[in-house]
Amino acid sequence: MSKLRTLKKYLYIYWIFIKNCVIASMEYRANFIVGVLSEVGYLFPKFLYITVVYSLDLRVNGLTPDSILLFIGTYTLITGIMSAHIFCNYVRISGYVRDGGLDMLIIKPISLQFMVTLRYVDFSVAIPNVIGGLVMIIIAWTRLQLSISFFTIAGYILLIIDGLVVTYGVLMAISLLAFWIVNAGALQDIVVSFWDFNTMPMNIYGKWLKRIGVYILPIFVISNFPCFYVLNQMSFAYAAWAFIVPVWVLFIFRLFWKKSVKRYTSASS
Amino acid sequence: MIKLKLLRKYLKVIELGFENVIEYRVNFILSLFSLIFPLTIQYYLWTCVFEYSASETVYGYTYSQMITYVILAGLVSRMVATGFEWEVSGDVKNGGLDKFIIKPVGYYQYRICSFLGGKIAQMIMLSIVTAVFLVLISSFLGMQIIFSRVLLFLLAVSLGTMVNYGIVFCLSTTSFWFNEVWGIFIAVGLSVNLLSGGLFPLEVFGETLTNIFRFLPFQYTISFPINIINGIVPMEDIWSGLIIQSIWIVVLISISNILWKIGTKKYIAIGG
Repeated sequence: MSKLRTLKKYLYIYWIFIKNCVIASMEYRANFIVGVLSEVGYLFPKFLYITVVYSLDLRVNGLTPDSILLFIGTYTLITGIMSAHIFCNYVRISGYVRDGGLDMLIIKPISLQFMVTLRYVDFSVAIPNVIGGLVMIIIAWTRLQLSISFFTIAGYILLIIDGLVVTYGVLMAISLLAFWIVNAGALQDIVVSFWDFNTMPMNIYGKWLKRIGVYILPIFVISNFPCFYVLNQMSFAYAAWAFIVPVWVLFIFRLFWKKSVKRYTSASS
Repeated sequence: MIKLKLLRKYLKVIELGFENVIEYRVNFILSLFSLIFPLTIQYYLWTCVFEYSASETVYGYTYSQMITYVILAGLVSRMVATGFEWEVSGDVKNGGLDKFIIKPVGYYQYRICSFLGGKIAQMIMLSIVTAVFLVLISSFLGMQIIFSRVLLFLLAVSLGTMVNYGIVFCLSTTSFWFNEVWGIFIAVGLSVNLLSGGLFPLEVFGETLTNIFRFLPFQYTISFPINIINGIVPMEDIWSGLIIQSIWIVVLISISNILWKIGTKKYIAIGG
């Protein structure tokens, strides 16, 4: 009962965070519009990938151009949600450690991990990707004549949430390197380009790369599994892994988090 | 004597730009690691395309020409990349131009010299990486690398860098008219990269658009230099391409100079 109350409390606080960030972004409307514009720029390469796929009528291990569009759309949608809720917090973590800003967060009467990893929400970066992703998904879904039954859609959404949890765990675990390397600026470029691995379905990659991307650094789980599910290409091993991987990633992240916070020296504050 | 003094002053700025990149070399080298992932995606994508294609060529490129193109596209994008636009917009927004009023250097000349200094250092590091890639490509894909084309490639990349400098400086002047320009820089920067052939060969856009692109400067920054090395541009067309690059440099630098002069009239030194 108390756990349920705690959950309710944190959901309420998260709602306040969202409201606070929306109010702040409406205060600086020009910044908001500019944020939307910059994300539109990031959509162009995705459109170019789609152009290549359709103009060449690319078929990869049973995937037609329409199926590939579903993968690109899902990846774009998840990118939007990820940038709004996770990435905007991820980029701040090294700053908290470097400038000693963590001091002010430690003294707050709520979970430090919650405060550090979920404090900010930036909808400006989400809007173009979410709209673009949804359009791609709807087009692909219609052209592939996929089922619109409750189980198909619910399973697809659940696996997207599953992917987001994995994204949270992996990205935040990487961000904790900031506790060891004070200037982790170059790491950000590497993470962004690593994320782009999901631009194309994992079917195009080699056997070993696929195994690494699913079981070791589970980047392919994020946007490939929801598509495999709706396309009836989800193997039993992948279905089982979809249940295990978020728990496993969160567990590793939590362990890493505890170790990292102990290293915090409050420098520069 | 005065000219010599002037030259020495700007040579010092070039030296400072060079030292700045060398000082942060680890950061630059680390950022090169981020190239590995997009290059891997491109390699697998095009390998897949050629595996399933009935034709020997796709968009007019053979497999080895395409792999050479997409790998070099990532590297050449870095070679011609700028970055000074953020400093220019910061100087305009926060009044940083003020200090140049009392300094014996012109802002425009300072920027171009500082850019050149930084570029020389980056070019040295990137040329080593490119040479390694070319050796790998020629040994694994059997792609014949002709030495004279490599030299012309280096010349075309250097000119392409200056073409890009002109494009980006024109873009930077938007800082005089808009307060928040970072979104414009990102969106336009990404679009320019795509139109320059920084992701895929320009033939992907179709014949009509490719013909239109001939009249724009963008392809002379990335696409043209790479197509020299992979043999897509015939030897007899290379020199005319280099001349067009030089013309674009003059045109773009003149336009950016004019825009800069118009912009500075609007400058009100807020925050300086």
